[in-house]
Amino acid sequence: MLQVEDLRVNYGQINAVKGISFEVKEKEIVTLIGSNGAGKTSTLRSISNLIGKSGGKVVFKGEDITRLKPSEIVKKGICHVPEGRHIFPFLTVEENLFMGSYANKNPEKSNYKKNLEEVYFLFPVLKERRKQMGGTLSGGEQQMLAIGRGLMLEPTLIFFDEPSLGLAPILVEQIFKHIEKIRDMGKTLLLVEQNARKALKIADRGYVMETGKIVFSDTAENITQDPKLAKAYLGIA
Amino acid sequence: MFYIEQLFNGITQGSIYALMAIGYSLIFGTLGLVTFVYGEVVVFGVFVGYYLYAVMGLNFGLALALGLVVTWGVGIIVDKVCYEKFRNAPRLIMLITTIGFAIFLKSSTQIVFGTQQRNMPDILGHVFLNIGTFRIPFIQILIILACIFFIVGLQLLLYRTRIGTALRALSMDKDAAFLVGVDVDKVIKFGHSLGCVLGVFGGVLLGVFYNAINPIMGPNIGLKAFTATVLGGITSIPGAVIGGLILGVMENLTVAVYSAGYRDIIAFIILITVLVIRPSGLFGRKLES
Ligand SMILES: Nc1ncnc2c1ncn2[C@@H]1O[C@H](COP(=O)(O)OP(=O)(O)O)[C@@H](O)[C@H]1O
Ligand SMILES: [Mg+2]
Repeated sequence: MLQVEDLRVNYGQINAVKGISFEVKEKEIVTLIGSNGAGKTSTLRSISNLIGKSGGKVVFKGEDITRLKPSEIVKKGICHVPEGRHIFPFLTVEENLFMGSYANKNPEKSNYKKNLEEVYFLFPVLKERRKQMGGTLSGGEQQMLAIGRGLMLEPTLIFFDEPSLGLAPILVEQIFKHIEKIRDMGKTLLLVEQNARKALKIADRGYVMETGKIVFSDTAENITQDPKLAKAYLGIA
Repeated sequence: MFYIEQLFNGITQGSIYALMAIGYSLIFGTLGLVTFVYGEVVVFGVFVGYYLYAVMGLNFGLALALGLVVTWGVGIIVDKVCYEKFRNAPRLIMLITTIGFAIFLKSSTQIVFGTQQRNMPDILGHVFLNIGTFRIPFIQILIILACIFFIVGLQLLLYRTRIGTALRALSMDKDAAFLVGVDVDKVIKFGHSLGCVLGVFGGVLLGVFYNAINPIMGPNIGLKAFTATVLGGITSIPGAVIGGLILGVMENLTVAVYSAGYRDIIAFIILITVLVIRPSGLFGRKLES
């Protein structure tokens, strides 16, 4: 579904992503793991064209999307739930969700209503708080809002950038449960995480990133069982 | 009696400032930055309308409409020249580009339309509304109603339409706006030009109020709009309205108590006071996170 070839990202002199290639197949959960500063966020942001690429190619469903505008990439059905949530703080929860449907290809009201109900079903707390400003929600609720907003697009492919970052363990648990539910809805997911153990538990395959390069890739199971990797990335002695 | 008349003058002028201030506030919200070219764009637009009406003989509505179309275009050019290439550059650069463009536009206005002050056609100049012993110029009531109309119209646009919601969203988090598929560049141009057009409406009304327009009044208009906006809390539209009204009333009461020479100093006093005592303005919002 998504092929990335030799992707490079530079910030001035800094090479944050040094030519990586990977693939996400339909209905898979693929995880990109690696420690802080490895270049995971830069990878996602450059695929979405929020930042420029210094090289490489991105193909989605057979179509070259390397140089499309961010808004056009979203319209293809690729949704990016960013690191740090980035909900709209002074829009209500419901307006945030409305903005999520901004690039939806089926803009009819009935379709919007249906999607809204689905998001509220998945995250009942958002329904309770639908008239509240996004900025007044707690961290976990904001993460749910960011995910719900993404679902309003009816995406086929979703990028999650560290959805568990800064959340209490019990909330982390919840968020990962929701991500699995979203996979069961038939979505394809690219999950970026520092919390490698959790990510590998729900993923089909994983890529391990280190200082801008992919150093290892395998099925999630094999990565978890590889003693060297387990020690380096999962903190298991 | 005299003071009440001055108060009413103040409210009239204040509502014009309010209109200019919401235009300014809209631009600030859209670009996330103050602009120094606003007053000049307004004056240019007003002169285009004036020229079409008074020199070319078009009817008032058509002249105004064409003036607004030209203003919309100038707004897009300003965004292209001053902002587009520098959206991710240090903000200081965009301040400097607007200052440069302001100088260019002010000179262009003088070259194209001449340097002298022009008299605005006197519309309804002698129609008064008598309420008891008060005589209120009918045109002032029209001005106030026009301002209310545009202010309410902008609120409806921002809170009831798709593009309005996108504009508000954009002003809060540009990255997030990109990520939900907003064509950020287009919406910025829309917001910026809309702000300019609101300013020109204000400029036309100010010309009607004073019966005169002047090609070098740009910096003054920019200052008044900026002051009213800062007083209200820069991104708050209701704040900008109240800021404009306060500025208008204070100006006119000062003129009544002291002399007309003090009119323009009030804006500076308010601006400095607000910036020193309460930089977030009367209705500025602070984000805790
Ligand atoms: N805006 C930026 N300007 C300069 N360097 C950056 C910027 N964003 C990230 N970097 C650098 O790029 C590298 C990769 O960062 P990032 O993609 O955020 O990693 P990760 O998401 O894996 O933690 C880091 O060394 C980081 O310091
Ligand atoms: Mg990151």
